[in-house]
Amino acid sequence: MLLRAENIEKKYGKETILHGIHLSLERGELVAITGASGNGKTTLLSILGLLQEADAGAIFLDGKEVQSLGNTQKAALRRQYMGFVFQRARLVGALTVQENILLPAWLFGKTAARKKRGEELLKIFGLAAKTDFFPAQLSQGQLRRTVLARALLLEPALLLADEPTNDLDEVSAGTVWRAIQQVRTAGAGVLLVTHDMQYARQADRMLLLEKGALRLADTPLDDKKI
Amino acid sequence: MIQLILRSLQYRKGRVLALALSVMLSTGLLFSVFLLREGLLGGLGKDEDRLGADLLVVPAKSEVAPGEILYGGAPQNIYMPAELVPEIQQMAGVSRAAGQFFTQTLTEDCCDVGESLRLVGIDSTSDWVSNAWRKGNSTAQPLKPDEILVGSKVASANLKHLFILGKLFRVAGVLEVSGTGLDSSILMDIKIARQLAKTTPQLQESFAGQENPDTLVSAVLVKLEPAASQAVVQQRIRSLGDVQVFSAAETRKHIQREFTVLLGLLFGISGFAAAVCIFQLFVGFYEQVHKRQGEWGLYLAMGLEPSRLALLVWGEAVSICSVGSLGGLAAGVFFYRYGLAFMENYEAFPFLPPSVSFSLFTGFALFLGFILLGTLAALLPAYKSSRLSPGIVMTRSDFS
Repeated sequence: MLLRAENIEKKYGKETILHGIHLSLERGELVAITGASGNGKTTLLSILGLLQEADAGAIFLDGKEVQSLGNTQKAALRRQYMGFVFQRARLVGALTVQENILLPAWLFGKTAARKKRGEELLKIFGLAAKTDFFPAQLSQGQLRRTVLARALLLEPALLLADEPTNDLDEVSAGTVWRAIQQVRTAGAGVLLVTHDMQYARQADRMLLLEKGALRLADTPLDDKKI
Repeated sequence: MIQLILRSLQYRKGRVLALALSVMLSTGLLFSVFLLREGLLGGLGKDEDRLGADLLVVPAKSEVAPGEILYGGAPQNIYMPAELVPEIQQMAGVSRAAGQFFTQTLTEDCCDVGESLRLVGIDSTSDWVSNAWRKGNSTAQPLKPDEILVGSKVASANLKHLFILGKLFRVAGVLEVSGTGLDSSILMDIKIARQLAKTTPQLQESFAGQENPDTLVSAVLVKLEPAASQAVVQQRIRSLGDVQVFSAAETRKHIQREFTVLLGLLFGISGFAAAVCIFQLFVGFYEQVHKRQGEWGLYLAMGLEPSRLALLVWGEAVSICSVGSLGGLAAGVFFYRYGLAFMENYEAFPFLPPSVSFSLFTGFALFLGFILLGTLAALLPAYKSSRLSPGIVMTRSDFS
């Protein structure tokens, strides 16, 4: 089991955002989490991505409990295991497309293999012509593809993607979706938060976060509600 | 990591340039003021040790400031009767008195030293001042007719001969650096100096309407008896008529006072620039905590250890301060040279260029000082950045 969460609880003030969350993810599995806006999907993703603390519960990565680890150890796990696609395109404005994709290599050691991988990703995501462009010069779709390419540079075992196809035209959304599927095919686990039912339905499992609880969305969902 | 620092600085070039220029200006001003202060203190100190004259007597008509005669290097063609010298020598309260005859070299002479320098004719029988400046030889022999002593700026120590106004002289010695006009002067026997002045057509203009150079002196240096009253002796000399008498100590004190005020002002300006720079550095870096939470949160989210993020923040501050202070040291040399030239135009004063070791030490200390300032300015932002929750990347909207 790549990722397992048990009984996750999270409150903001007196408001309970998440309670009794249980979730598991295998390598090579794509799990989609859906739910209405403001239901805590992003919070859940950031807790599972060790970006913020849960108030209660446990998270296991490859069978090891990680929720109780210190910041440095969590940082090492994120580096070692995870790739993130954030809801908003989180690119560094000072860096070009290529440099943004190579950012993990800049931070954690630039190897020839990583540089080569960066060049491959530029081609895969159709960004080769935009290599020296800065984020401010890119369209929404190009931004999202750059973020995804960056997330995949270190070939993470776990990809956490928050609304990766949001605000994208069909062509761009399709490119992003195909890349996510390739990640799964390559053996990584993918946890996807999305409103887009077209893609959520193609996941191995589709979960619904509602009133702070997560349940298997095994019945057809009303697209308009989500 | 270094690449990321450099790109980040490049991206924020407006802010970085403003901070670096502020550091540069502060470092440059402080460096130049420290060098000027050192040079001035060194010059005044050495002058006090070696000048040896208590009073300076010059012609009454001379409009040249006493400081210019004592410390300036430019030729001064001022003359008064030579008979004043024995009269002063015999005065009560006077220990020694030595006449000097000033003339000059010519720039246009093909066989000359090449620039217009002050030629000082000294009377070897009464002079005691020049010996104090002769390198390593306090019991030097009186100058022979074909011998000269040259100031440290005139020639190097291994120079053997020099053509002056068409006559060949043997360099009997190079004087120690005095920080005064002596460094740009050539000393020779007073009779020879007079003879050169008399026989060089271009210099005749200086004596128009005056007597034969053989009967003239330009200045008289006077050493008093220890118990003598300076005021009384000054009065006695003035009573000889047509002379001005200056106290060397007073002249020195006057210059010291003026430059103390000037240096105080320069230190004040430098201090103010440094204070503004410190404020800019601290505010500039503290602002980054708020402006760049999203970016720093991203690095943390990607797995950068908090301590390395702090290093990244610190690296930016140190880079700005390093470049700024190195540029400032270069600018400081320019400020120092320009400032010195400006001050010399304003008034002649004793100045000993600071030693290389002092300059290097001061420059290095300032460089380290500004690195330390950068470190202090980055301390709080670095600490705060390292305490950021990586989850902030999910919520911040003001991401660059």
